[in-house]
Amino acid sequence: MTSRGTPSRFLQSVLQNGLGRYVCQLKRISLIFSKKSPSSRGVREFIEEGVVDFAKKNPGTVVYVSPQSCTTPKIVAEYLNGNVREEAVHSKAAQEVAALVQKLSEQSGLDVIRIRKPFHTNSPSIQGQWHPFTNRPPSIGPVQPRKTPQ
Amino acid sequence: MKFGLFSVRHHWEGVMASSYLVSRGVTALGIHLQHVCRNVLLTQTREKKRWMKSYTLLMENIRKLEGPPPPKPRSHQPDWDYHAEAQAFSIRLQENFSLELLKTAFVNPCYIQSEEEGRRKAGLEGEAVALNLKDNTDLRGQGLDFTHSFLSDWCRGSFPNLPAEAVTAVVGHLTSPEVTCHVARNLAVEDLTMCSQCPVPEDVLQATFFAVIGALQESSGAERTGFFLRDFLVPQLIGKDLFEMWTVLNPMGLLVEELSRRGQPLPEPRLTRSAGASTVLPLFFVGLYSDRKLLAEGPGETVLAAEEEAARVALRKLYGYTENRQPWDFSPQSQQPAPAVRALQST
Amino acid sequence: MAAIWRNALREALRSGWRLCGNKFPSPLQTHTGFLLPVVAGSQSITNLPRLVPETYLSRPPWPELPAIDHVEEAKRHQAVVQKVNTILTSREYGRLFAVVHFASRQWKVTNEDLIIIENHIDVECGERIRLEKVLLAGGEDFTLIGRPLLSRDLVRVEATVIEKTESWPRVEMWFRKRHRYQRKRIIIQPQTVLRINTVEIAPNLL
Repeated sequence: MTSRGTPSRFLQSVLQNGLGRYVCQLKRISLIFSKKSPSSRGVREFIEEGVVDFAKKNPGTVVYVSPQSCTTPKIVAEYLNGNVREEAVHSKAAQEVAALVQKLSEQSGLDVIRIRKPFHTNSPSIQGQWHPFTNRPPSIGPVQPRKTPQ
Repeated sequence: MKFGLFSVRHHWEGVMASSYLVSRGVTALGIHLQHVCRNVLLTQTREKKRWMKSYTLLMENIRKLEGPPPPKPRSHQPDWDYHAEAQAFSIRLQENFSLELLKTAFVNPCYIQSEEEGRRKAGLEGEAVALNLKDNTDLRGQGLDFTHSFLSDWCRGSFPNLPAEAVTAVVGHLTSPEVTCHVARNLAVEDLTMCSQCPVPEDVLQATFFAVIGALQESSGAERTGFFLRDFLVPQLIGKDLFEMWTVLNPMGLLVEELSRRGQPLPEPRLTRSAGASTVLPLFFVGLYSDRKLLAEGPGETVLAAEEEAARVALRKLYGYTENRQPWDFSPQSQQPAPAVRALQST
Repeated sequence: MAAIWRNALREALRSGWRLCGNKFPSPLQTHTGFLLPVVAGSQSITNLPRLVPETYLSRPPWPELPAIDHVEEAKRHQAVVQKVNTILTSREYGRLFAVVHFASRQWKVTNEDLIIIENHIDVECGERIRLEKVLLAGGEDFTLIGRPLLSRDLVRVEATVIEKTESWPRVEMWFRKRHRYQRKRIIIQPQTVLRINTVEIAPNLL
């Protein structure tokens, strides 16, 4: 769809992250997969090799590994602002699953929709915002061009 | 096969209770066959099912009448390990909590009461009813006191010219339920809170947040808790104006008081600029002059409104709460300057 | 020499700015015939006779400025630099802003604000970066303009990487009517969000 037909938001961060200290926004990641089905083979390989390193690298994130009987394996990521993202990893290779998990850990939980402006500031004007009366001598009455001394 | 089709259709509703693999309208096994129980085979058709529309409309109506299902606390949903979550909470905030204090901080009195009632209803009596859990009332009181004192000191330190009422107003805004609950929700305090109701009511969440601060103070000391508050509560002031938090009904009177306290001559308002005085959107700029020097200039739709705005701008300048003031120092703790104690010792 | 040329300029102006082809008379032209005879020295401007009546186009629309005295200019510059240096040393400034060139774009940046970049940087989330190409820095009362960049010892802009995410899926579609040609592609850009922590200026202008 076009950007006008889809939702949009302004660039923001959760709780002014990065200002005082940086807090990793991913609080919980659950790997739901099947023990036997061929579509969760990539997830199973990732769990054998990479999940422990990932959990050690991100000690602030709780990693849940839950084998269930399911048709499509998925990864459920929960973020500090309450958003939950589910990604299907049906028939993905182990490296792809690892890359996806890494990407989810680096994101904040804000919606992936059009960002209206690539910047955000709380103090847009430091030297004073321009208005039509700036740098004009004070005058009462209609705004007129100054009479230049000839 | 055809005979089997007709006979099974009669038994459709009857075998519903004993079946374990019935999914209406959807083929689960094979193309047309479905094992319902050992001796009965259900056949499903791929054509348009005449009962499907009325069934879905019925279920929609039932769902609309009942409304959405009540929210369940995260601890009652699958994949939850309390100890791991508490540890991750502490590490994520880069703080060294003692886990027992942290877990105590999350236990609310309402939770203990509801659990004990539940146990009594289930038939347990005597000692078995009592939960061996301490609640967070002491930690909450500690946290609240520390927060008030730290924020007041910080406010007075950043804005030395602010009067006491303004400091109380700012600290009151920062410790108000809206701000503390917003911070607590975005730090995952709500998930770990043990409370009788779900979703957690605002006052309980606020109390839990202060209890967490109390726990941090007990575990790591006042300095680290101070940094915690500076990193999470103080940034909520960014972008806020002084008079949004502190309601002042008579800014001109307050300005007159301030100037007389500092020994400066009283302000005189003068109309500096005006435009469109006889239109629907007039604009007047009133400047306040003290001893013929411009204090502040403010715009407004009427002359009185402009004068009030000019008084507010003048107050902001006097208290040092302008938009282009020096920004607060959020440098990491390792780069903070050495505390004053060392300087005293060296001299 | 300069005085001669200045007078020739005034003559060209008085005889009609447009008549002499809107050109400044070069020092070489002072001896050619179509200009009035040059009067060197002290004769005042207004007494010179005019051949063409003065019109709206007799002189250029911008005001006639006096000549630049380099010694005085240098003194004035020194005074301004001294003033700015005192402001910087005594730390009387409030919030500072800077114009920074990063990721092929220029951003007006101050403390506590957010920026999003359309690529990934090879930096982990939470690490601090220094943005080095600063074109302009300033506060309420002063601005330092670099030509084109300000020195690295003068300004320091630090930022933290907050988030490394992807953009929303953008659709790229080609369609030509009546030719049965259409192509569709979904583009997802990697994005990095930076939080600008500090903008600092060191008081060593001179």
